[in-house]
Amino acid sequence: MKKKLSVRIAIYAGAILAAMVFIFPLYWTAETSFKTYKEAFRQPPQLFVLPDFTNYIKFFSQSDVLLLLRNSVIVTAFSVVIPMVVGVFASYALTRSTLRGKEGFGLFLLASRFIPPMSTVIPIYIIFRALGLYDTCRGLIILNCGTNIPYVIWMMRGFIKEVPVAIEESAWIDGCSRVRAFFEIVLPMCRSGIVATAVLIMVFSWNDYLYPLMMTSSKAKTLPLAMAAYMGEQGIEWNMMAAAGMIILLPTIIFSILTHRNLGSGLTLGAVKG
Amino acid sequence: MKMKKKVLAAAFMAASMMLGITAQAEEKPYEGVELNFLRHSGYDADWMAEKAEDFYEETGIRVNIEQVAYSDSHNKFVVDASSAGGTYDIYATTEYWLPEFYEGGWIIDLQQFVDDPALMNEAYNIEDIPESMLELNRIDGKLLAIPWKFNSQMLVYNTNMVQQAPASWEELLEEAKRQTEAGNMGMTLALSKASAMDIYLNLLYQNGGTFLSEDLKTCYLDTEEAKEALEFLVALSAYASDGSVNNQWPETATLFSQGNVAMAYTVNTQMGNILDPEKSEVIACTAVAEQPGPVTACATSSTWGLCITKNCENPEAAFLFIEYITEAENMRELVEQTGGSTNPVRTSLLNDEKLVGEYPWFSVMSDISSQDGHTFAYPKTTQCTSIMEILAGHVQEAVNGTESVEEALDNAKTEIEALL
Amino acid sequence: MEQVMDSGVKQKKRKLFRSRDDKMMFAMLAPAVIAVFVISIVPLVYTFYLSFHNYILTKPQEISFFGFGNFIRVFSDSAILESIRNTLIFTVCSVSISLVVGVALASLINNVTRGKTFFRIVIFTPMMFSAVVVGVIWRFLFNNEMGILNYLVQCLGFSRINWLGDAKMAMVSAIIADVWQWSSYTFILALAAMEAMDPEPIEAATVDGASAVQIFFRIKFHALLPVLEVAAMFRFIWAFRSFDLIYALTNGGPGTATETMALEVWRQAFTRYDVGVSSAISVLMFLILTVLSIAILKNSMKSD
Repeated sequence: MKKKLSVRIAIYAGAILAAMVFIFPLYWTAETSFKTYKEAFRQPPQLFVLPDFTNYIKFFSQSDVLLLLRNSVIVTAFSVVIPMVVGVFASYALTRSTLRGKEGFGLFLLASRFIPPMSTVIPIYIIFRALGLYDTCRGLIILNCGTNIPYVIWMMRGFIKEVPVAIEESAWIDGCSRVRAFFEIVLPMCRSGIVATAVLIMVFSWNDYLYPLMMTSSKAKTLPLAMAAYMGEQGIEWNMMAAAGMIILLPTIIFSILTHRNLGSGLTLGAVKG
Repeated sequence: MKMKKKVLAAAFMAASMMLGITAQAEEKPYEGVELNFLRHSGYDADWMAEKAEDFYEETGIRVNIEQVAYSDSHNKFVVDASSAGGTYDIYATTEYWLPEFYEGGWIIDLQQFVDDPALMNEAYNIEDIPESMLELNRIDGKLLAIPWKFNSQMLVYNTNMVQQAPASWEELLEEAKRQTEAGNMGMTLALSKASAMDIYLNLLYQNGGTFLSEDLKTCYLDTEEAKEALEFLVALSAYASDGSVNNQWPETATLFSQGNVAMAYTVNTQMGNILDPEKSEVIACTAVAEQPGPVTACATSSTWGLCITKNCENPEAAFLFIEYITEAENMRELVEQTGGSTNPVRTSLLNDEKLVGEYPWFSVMSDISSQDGHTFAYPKTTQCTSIMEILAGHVQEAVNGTESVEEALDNAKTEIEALL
Repeated sequence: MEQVMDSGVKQKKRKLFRSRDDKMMFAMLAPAVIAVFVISIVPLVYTFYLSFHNYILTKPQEISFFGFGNFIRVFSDSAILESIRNTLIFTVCSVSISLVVGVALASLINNVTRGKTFFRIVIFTPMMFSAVVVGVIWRFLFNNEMGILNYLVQCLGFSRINWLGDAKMAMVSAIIADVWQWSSYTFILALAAMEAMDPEPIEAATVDGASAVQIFFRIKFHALLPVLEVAAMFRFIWAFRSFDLIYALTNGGPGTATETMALEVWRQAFTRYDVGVSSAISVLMFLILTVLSIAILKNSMKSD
């Protein structure tokens, strides 16, 4: 359906304006990462800079950066995969089942997220020490799983509810087992939800700061800690921190670009009609 | 015959090996020990990381330095040190955290190592560190940290705008007013939660007041001196940058470094930044002076030192590292590597001609620390951090006008005394 | 939904299905429950336990039962009471604004034909920063003299705004930073839901002559509701507990203008070493959030 030209212009203008507002701090971070310290503060601020990767090279030449990168990748990967698998199953069960007390379960799972993380630091630290999980990647993964699973369950709930029960039931009547129906009908229809959820918890785990700060020493350190270390006693090294920030940002941006096609693709079209 | 020769040769080799081993053992008694050193990041941290390498060459003790963000260092240490079996052996601490750590029993007495001739070599010369500095780090007669540097605050001014450093509050206010009317920014103040109390307390002591009683039970914020000090601060802030209330020391220094500000209260660690050609536009026109006051020029001082935790399994080795880092020659190196940002506690260095020549504010720092009444320390109480935060909060409210001067001081006094 | 056709055969099938069904459901649910229980519930219970004790971190051996003493302290301390108020203001404003912005943007971008991907990714980026970075970046952007925002404001002819130094503006600034970061979340969810929406009713309505606004509120909104509910829920929880952003931005200042409960939890535990009061505040946060979620979710639970 073609829209009037003026409406289309208005839409595009609005979109561009919104894009500028949202991308501005990112742009500012990027250009700060290309500047020297003095240039970063100059008034009036320089808004256009040529890319200069000195700061990035400096960041990577730190001795433990590759270890940090490896840790971040491992921790995030498992912190996304495990909660997604466990969470999607659980979410389906919670949404569709007629189990007694499922509302209670749902609320209970969500309630685990109601306590501010700061107050859990000391007990978790003690437990980790006792179990030998301090300064280990698996310790961080376990923590992230506990934090992410409730989110997966609750986010997928909305998307699973969108899938009409009628579709599943027609499949059952046609002889399809419930499990197969789950895998072949429900999941594909929730693809956009699955991707959106995965991206969300990936971002959380990748950027997690508090738990890695308190629960690691030198072996399981993650990237955000290296970036925060630029906030030193004599001040913040803005240009270096911007470079580190950009480096940390990159994988999440790449991940969302790779999955964007699945982030929303009108999948229910045709399914209900047929 | 051959047999005998062989046996003799073997014996000879064995003997020399033993001798060699014992000789080595004498040189490196703690070889193979690993220590974990937690500290906040900054210029000193980078230097210490380099020195740890040299230290390893010399002694075989591996010191792993972990740097965390400045604002998180205290948090992380508390979580770690408060549980048995914590990781960290050495920590870089300021002296007003020592009461808390001592009460928790998290750090140990270092005097035993200082007095131990096997650990302390003579060239170290602990008398070079002023007794007052050491006393700041002592509680109940126990030496809990060895300081390596001290911070204090000064007045820095732009010589292009300000001809002579103001010598009194009136002159300071006049100068700020004049500069603001001339189109510059008269003053910039660091009134963030982390520093507002310093600025105010400096003024209080400059006015001849005191903060807490000797027995740390009463707060003297209801005195005339306290009121005048806060009123002066509010008046001064009228000629200061609007954003002062949220500025921390580094931001204030950066603002000054751009050349539009006439004067600033600053902390000495920022001098390295202010005079760094890569970071500042005002290197040719900066001068420093003591902060003036009606009764006396005065500013707060605090030290940064190294302490050893109770969790440390090799305190002797840890002490050797502390000793190594705080040796005179290494301290000199640190001062030069940080561009003078680090003010050593050692009098020999503070008064060293060459250093004073390169870093002129050393003489101001020396004036501050050596003259009676020109400096004061934070109260030695476990509630120190909270008290300072309460004070900072109310100073901010007073400057912003959300509380009147009397209200701010009364509220602060009530809340502080509730903690004492 | 299952209709009884042949009572005999169908009923048998229903019973069998039911029990197998439930067992399978339980098996699907179990791992999640166990994981969350083990990882999250233990610290939760410990926090509850501590809130009834007087526990000073530097004197752990002197821990003693304190009944409701900590809670009394919480309600009699003006700074803590103010933090409750600040938290509610911050959360309610931030969540509602980010919901509106997110849905509005999603509607807008949904209608963009070319370059939709570009816009989707660009508007999505703020969420990918960590809270610490967002706080630090905005701290600089909001800086009175050196920040870009005031530079732009001055270019437009206005006088500088004291973003972080003025008590009221500081809260506004914190909300702006939070909305900036989290509108992308509501945006992406709303967009995903809009794209998965069945176009038939919308087409039918347009043919019938309904205006865009009517279409939005009558049709689209209802389809968005389940997804938005969850989004609102999450946003509320995160904004309520938000720590890193405000800590980096203002550290609760000026004065106590932006001091939220999460900041107080930290302050009480790590500067005053009063873990009992800190836990009590955490428990209070827990209770508030529980009551609110039950209220929000009562409707949605019913429709399950």
